[in-house]
Amino acid sequence: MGPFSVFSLLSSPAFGSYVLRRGRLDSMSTYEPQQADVQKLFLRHSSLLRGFIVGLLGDTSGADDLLQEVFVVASEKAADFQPGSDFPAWARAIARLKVLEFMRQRRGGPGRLSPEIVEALADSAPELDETYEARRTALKRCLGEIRGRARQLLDMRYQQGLNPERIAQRVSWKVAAVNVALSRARRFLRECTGRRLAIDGDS
Amino acid sequence: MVADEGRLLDLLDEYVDGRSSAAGLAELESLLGSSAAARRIYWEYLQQHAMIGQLQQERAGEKLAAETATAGSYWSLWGLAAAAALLLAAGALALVPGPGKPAAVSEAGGSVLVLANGTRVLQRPGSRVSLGASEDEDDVEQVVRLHRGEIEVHAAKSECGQSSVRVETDLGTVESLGTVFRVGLSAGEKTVRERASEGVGGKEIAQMRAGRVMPFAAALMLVSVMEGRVLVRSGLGATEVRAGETARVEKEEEEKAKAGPAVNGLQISFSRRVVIRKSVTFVEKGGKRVEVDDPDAREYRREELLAELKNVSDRTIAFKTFSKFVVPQGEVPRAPWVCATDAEGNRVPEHKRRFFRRNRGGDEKKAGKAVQFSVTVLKPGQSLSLRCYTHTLDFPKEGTYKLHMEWKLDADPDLEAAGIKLWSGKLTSNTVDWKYVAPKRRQRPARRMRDVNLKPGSAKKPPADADEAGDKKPEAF
Repeated sequence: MGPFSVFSLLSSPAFGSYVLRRGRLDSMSTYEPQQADVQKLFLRHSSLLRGFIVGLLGDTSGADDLLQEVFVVASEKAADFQPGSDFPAWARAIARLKVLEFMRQRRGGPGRLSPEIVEALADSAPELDETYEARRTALKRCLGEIRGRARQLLDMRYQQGLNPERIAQRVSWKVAAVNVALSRARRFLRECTGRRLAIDGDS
Repeated sequence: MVADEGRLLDLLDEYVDGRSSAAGLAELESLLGSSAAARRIYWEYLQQHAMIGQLQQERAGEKLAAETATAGSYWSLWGLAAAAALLLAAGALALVPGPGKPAAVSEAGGSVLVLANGTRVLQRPGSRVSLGASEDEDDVEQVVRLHRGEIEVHAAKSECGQSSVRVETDLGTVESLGTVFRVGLSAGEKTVRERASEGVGGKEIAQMRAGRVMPFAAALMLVSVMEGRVLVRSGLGATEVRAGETARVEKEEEEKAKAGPAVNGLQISFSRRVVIRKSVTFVEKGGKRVEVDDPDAREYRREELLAELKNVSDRTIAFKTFSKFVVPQGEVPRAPWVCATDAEGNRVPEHKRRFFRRNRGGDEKKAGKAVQFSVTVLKPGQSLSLRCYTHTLDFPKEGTYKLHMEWKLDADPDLEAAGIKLWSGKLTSNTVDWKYVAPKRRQRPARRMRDVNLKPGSAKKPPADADEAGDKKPEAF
């Protein structure tokens, strides 16, 4: 009898996924990787994957739902992942297909990039894996430098997920003023991150 | 190099805020389509956009945790916690679970449990928790069992890839990786109402008010995440819940799985559950986070069909794992399938239904490859839960149908001759009522003449989804 896996169950036409109860499901096989291992890897790289999805969508609101779908697919396809191979690349391939599927179905609404451009962007997505943590750390420090009203606007935009119109209502500003302030804050963060990365790189 | 980087950044700002005009979007597409440098800037900018959101959420959580840690006398014991495996603060018990000892139980309301890894569990009044050893100790550092009520968990920072704490309930589990979240169990409004209508609810409620311990059957699990994210697992599978979101796992009393008859030690049960996921908005008031009504809050409700194969015998059972591949060759058994009868008791012909995703795994068959089959082994008491793709349920007409599952495996003489004894037989599950509502098709609005601009050179671009949505199939997974 050749190698086998309980994960082929996941590919059945009848069921999308399975869970185990009261302990691990035993199997006569030693087939790796386990689904749980893939899920752990997914959690470890979820920030990176989310960034990739946001990059293709240009929108954070739908990214979480898509990330969840990618998680489900990755779990279902766990048996296809070769242990020791490049997990982020494997998961990104799934995410890419999911995003393109999403774009084709046009669940993103108007004002989004065309699927052709998204596909071109996906092809040119840089390998950010190695620099991801450094960029994140630098950005975190730069965020710490923003204070006052700009900080409040960033909180509302990114923490509470408000759009500029709603932010303008809350702070009694004009929408254009909110847009300008957010734009300046982002430019500052971009330049600051670049500076810090350059300094860290030199040192 | 991008000729006008400032202009590109302006366009990106508009894009990420969802305020791109048609002309701006076209300009952005033109830049991205023609310049590799523009695409590189796009990626940097969008990655930053995604990262800011995550960092802001983390920061909010850190702030909240810092405030909580210094808020009350509970947390003054925090410094002592490292020395103790577990500590309950004022008014509660000190519990130190050890190997071989029964799980510690606490019913003290308003107490704080500090676990060995630094995780803090704040018990709400009326809650009941126990601490026990994990069955799967490699995956999680601490396990908290919530029997009733609500707890707030401030999970310790965990090692990469390992959950620092797992909360287990009757309805599912919640795993965290350095987050703050709440888990609550309740009997559910519906259950209470139904019990009352049966004439026993009033007595039970009166006893609850009198403070007597009542048997508790959880019907609803509510998970609110304040910081970071958690993985909620239930019989339906796993779902990630992020800061600001709430996940509900509901169990309807009348839908409790009643298994079909056991055959050769295996039993199959069929049930229905409801999962609700919604976003929650918090505001800071007086240094504390308060949930507020948000008109933009979204709620997703999903009904799931769940099947469970269980080994009810006292011996280990192995069976061929069903697969979508090679069914025509007869090497791998067909997966359990759903049967339906209508209101008149007539069986719905199978060819008129499409319950699940279409089989797209034809490549192996075409290529004539030999495909190895799999074997699944269930030890006594173990079970295997399977979730159905309910969104593909399709019936000839709307109405309530009775669904049940059937699964048949024939004995394999070749394997038996080789000394391998696999399970065989025919299983039938209990029935579940399923209300089928035909999905609403999105209708394209009728074009009116006044919407058409007839000026030369000003023809409107057709809706972006007009060509794309069509009949194209999504990429298969």
